Amino acid sequence: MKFYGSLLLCTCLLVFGCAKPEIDEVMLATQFQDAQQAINNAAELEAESLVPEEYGRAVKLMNFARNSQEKADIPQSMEFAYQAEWVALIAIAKARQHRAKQEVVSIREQIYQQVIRAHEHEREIGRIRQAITEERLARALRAGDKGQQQTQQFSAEIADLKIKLRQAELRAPILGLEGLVTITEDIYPAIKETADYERVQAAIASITNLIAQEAFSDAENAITEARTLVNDLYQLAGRNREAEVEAKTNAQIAIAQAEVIIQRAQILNANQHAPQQLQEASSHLQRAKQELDTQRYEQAQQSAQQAQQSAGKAVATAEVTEYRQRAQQELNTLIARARRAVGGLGEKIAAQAKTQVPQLEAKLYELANSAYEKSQSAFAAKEYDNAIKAAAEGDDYLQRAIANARQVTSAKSDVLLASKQVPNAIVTEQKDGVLIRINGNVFAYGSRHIRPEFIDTFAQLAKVLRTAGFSKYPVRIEVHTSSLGDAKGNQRVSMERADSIKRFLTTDGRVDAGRITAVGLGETRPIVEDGPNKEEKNRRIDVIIKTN
Amino acid sequence: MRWIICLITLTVMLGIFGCGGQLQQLAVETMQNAQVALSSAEAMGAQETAETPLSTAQEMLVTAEKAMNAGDAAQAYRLALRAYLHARIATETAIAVREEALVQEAQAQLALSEQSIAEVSQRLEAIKAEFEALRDDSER
Repeated sequence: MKFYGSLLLCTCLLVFGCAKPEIDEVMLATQFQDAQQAINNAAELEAESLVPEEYGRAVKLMNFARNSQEKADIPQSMEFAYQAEWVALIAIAKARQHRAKQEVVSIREQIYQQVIRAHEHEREIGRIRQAITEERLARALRAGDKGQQQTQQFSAEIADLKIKLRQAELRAPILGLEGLVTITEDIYPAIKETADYERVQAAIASITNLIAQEAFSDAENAITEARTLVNDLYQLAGRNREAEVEAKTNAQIAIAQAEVIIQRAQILNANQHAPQQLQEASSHLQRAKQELDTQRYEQAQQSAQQAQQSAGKAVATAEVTEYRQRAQQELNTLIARARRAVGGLGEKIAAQAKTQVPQLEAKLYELANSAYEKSQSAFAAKEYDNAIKAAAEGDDYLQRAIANARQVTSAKSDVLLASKQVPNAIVTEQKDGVLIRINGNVFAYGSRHIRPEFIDTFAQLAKVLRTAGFSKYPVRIEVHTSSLGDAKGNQRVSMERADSIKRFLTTDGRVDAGRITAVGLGETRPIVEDGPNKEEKNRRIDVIIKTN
Repeated sequence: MRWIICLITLTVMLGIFGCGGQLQQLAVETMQNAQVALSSAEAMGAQETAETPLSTAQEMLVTAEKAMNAGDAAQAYRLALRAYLHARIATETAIAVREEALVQEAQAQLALSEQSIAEVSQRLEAIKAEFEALRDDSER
């Protein structure tokens, strides 16, 4: 039977014990695929060269995941694989940012090239227009029939066109510079407010004037200087843009941190414990947000840091007060619990004092009392945990005493009821059991043999003793004689009669001999000293079934 | 870069304070960092452009707080770290979307520029043709 039980247990372990790891391994494999896919996607976006730190971290986490898998540490492997996927996703996003930035720069360069090309075309148009005029002049001269006035007109036109062509040649780099200035404005709009920008604008205006005044040599020199100024302005815009983004991010982070600390202060009821500091923190935070909105990022960061400091002080103050209050509340709760436990035990012990419990289960009842005293002492000494523990112990003893007493009382009642079936017997309840008293001449004078009319009495008694509920209770058989005859003889015959009854109960009655103690007490314990039928009453057999 | 330093710091702190009440402290700090990362993501407009990782980060942070209140500091730390990573994904994705919008804007400018050069080229071709016609005429 045990073998089949073990076999069933092993089967259950195989079926249900192995299922979970299989599921874990499938999930792990899926997660590995997802993480590897994310890393591959990042590699396709050239994340390895664009964002080497994030990409390298994702690959490293993936390796950690594989190592953990080899060591059969599936939860840790899963955790690493998750992190590898997420870090790869971050790498993908950052690679996208880099690529977009590169693309914007590339497109702007294309625009710049096209602007230059357009101006080259314009210059070409100017040159062709001049050639057309010269051609027309040549034709006029060849024809010879044109007047001096027309020749002079064409000459003037040619001179004018030459100037315009030169002006167009010099304007081309100016347009290029203006295009670069426009790109610079796109990169960092606030560049317009700088002195460098003013200088560039003044230089371009000056070149335009020089070209208009046909001071071409001065204009060429000024263009060279302006080119340097514009390039410097472009680089400055780039640097300012980066600094602005960083300052803005720092301000946003500082504000977010301040908000977190203020939130923590509010959770700790700082509005009650440190209202002034919390108010200060809120004001600083409000100011920081306004400064952020108006793009005063450094001031915003400073205000946010001030908010953090004030909020930090509020947290420190509130933490101490709040925790003190909470500790006091916990202590009050503990005292109340201890008081209930000790008081409750005292009431229960008092309630049981008038019942049979103290008699039937004296030891457990005494232990409960002792624990109660211990709990009272602990409570008085403010050792509330010990008081609760001692009260719980006492309650346990008391409950066991009550349960045992109930069991004994119940068993005794059952034995009493069953014993009433025994003929020729008077059944009475005793402190620790049931007494079955058989009066009358069970034995003939001087005999140790049970008389036939009492055989049924002992047969019924044996049946009671064999009853399932009582089959473990010890039994004592006491045989008493009258005072007729000599005492020694009475003692001997009572002993023989006790043995005879025990023999009957164990052989004919099939009662376990180990349970039965048989004693002959002769005439030593009379129940009646005087009066009629004294001897008959004293001659008796007492069977005591001990129920506890 | 800043968030990487932050992540490394968290890992080192886990190594140093890998037990007991110090783990609880670490969990609290990681939750605060996740909250900061969430605020940054929101500031970058992740609600519109990276809603999924943002909401995932928010949910994980709430769950981390519940685990913390239930006294499970280790679980709270794990969830807070996940919330932090998701908030970083949301932030970087939002920035990427913003940069990609700038690309589209630049492409539109390029198209206008191409249109302009086509017009100038057309004028150049026209004047070349005029010049050729003049020369042909004079040769005749």
